[in-house]
Amino acid sequence: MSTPFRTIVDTYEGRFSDGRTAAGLPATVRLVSQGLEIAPGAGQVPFVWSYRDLAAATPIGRRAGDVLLSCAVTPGATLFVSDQAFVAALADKASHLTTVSQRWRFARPLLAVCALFALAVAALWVADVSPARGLAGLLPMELRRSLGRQVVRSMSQGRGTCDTPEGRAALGRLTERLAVATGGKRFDIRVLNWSLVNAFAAPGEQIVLTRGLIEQAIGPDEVAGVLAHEMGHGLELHPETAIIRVVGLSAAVELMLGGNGGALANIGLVLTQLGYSRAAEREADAHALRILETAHISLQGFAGFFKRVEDRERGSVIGEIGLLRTHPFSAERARLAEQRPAYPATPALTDDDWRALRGICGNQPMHP
Amino acid sequence: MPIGSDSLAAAPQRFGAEPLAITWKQQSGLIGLSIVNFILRILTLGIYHFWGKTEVRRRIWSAIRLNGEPLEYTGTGMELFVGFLVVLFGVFLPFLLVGGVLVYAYGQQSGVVRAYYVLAYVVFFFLIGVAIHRALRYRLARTRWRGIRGALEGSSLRFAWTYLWTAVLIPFTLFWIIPWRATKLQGLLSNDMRFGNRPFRFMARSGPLYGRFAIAWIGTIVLFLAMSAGVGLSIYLVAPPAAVPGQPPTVSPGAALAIVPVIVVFYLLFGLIVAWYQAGVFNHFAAHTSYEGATFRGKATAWSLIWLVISNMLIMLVTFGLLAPVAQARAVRYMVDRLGIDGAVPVTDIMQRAEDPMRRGEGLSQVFDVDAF
Ligand SMILES: [Zn+2]
Repeated sequence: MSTPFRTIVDTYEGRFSDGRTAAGLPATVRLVSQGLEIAPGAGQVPFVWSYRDLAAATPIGRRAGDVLLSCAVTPGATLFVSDQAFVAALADKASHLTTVSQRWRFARPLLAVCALFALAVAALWVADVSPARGLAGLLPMELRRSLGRQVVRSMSQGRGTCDTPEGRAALGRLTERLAVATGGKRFDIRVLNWSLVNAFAAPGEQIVLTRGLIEQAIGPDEVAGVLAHEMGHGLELHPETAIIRVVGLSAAVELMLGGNGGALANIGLVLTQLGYSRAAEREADAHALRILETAHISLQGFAGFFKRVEDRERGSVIGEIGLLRTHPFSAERARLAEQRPAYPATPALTDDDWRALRGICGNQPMHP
Repeated sequence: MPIGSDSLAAAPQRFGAEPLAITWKQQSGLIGLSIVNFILRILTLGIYHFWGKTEVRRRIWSAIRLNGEPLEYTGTGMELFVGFLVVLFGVFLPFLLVGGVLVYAYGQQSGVVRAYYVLAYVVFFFLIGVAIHRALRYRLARTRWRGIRGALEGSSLRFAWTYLWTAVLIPFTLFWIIPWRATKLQGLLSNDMRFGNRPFRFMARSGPLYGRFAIAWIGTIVLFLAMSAGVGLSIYLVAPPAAVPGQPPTVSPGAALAIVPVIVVFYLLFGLIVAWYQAGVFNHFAAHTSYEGATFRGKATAWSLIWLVISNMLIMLVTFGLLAPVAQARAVRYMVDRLGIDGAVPVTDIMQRAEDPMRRGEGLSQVFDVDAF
């Protein structure tokens, strides 16, 4: 018979612990077809740990000199064999214990999770669902107002506020007229002595217009159109959402790096640089159209102004923080306005009021 | 088996008492593992970090041998990951968010925000204490030898409270609370440590540490004075400032360069003083720790400790942290090599303990990164 030789080769010495006490027993181990046959202590009845149920304390490489094994069926019990030949033989019988297969088993679900995560982010992005938006809705009014004041303050740094009494009164009447369709929300509007053509919505129903924008406007309907659009942003809480998005990131970075809030203080600047998404612009436009129609103000000014600014700025230096940068997609906006049915409309302001509004910066020194 | 021959053959271990020896068995493939972990971490946007860390721990634990048999690390990457997520979303981000909102609502310079910062520092310091305790608890619960688990009992809040108030006193005592504090904190940890159903005992007093501490403390002050003098002298020797009345003396670039070696020497000497003190602490704590019949013996020395720290720093710097697992293994190996065990433990009397219900892994320490490995 040739088997005796094989049997000798097959038998290894190890140490077995039953997992009930810290005692260890010398054990003989054989690699049989169903699994490891372990006989702890001389003369004990051997039992078998099936290869399938085996786990190794560390993944086994072929060069490993020893292995610590446990079995899912008898938790706590361990078998330690310090024999390179045993490890190599075991790697053949129970390949799931090897370094390569273990690593792949760890990595595969992780890569799947990452792919799922990427998909989920993409889906959220496509569906325009945003947790920041949900959070913005939870902020109390007083906090939003206070946030808005901070943003306006940081935007108006080094710039005066235009507020001749006549200009303010005219602006008030325009706001009053538009307020018929803002669901009772009272917007607070401030004109900054800034030559740039731009308009921003800030948190807490606050809007900033620039002197440049009023100068660039041909008539009151154009200013009304821009205001209605910004009110749309405000009604949809777009500024609050943008800030939560940026603050969530920068506040985390700031606090973790122990910063002094330098980046946070510039949040107003960040807001002026950020354009809204196409979806957000569409939402603001839908509000603008509704507000203007309810207030019986012509849509011509609304569509015309953005289009005109775009034509003027096209070819100019990109990167200027102009209206185009913060409110892209003018062509789409113009098309939208043209598709609406006509309705009876009156000018947004009387001639006298329009003159007063154009002179609202009379209290300010003129900057180039 | 004939009973007579058994009792003769196993005479020294007749009642299950077994002398213990702790050794280190170098594991191959740690460098390869570091590189694979690095790549997988990038591919998974960092999430693999926790699984990679678990893999490294399994290797390091496995290198520690008691009587030739390895320790086993049974923690999982998922446990670490979930622990991290819970702390991140349950503690850290809400804290940041409230801070951000307060800054916006009241302004950076307002009293409310300042008070919040102070509160945040105190709370975070307390949480570091909690993190240290919970990290040790998780690791011990996931450590087995011959299938028997370790454990850390006791309250992490109590530990964190001691950690906090003793830390507050450090500047007020001109650092003299440090030896007492270290002994107190180590006692809180060591006396709550278990292997199986049996406790570790820690009986150290801080008194014997004060001789060493006083020398280190005075040495540091002398060193600081010497450095100040050295800086002044080297500036003067390299480029004596022109004494123009009414003009502040200017320091030339050459003189500024001359300061560098002085400061490097200062840091090396300061490191040596700290290492000398820490080696003493290690040996003192080891000598007063026992487990059943076994006592420990520390063999740390200042030179070997500072070499470990400097060489590990170099490994981290040169490989940009890629070989961090190697440095971690070296640090553990140092402790194993410098720890002796005398006496025997009654292994047959050490019973398995019930599993620790802690299902999430040390989230706090993952966020604060207080753990060395
Ligand atoms: Zn817009």
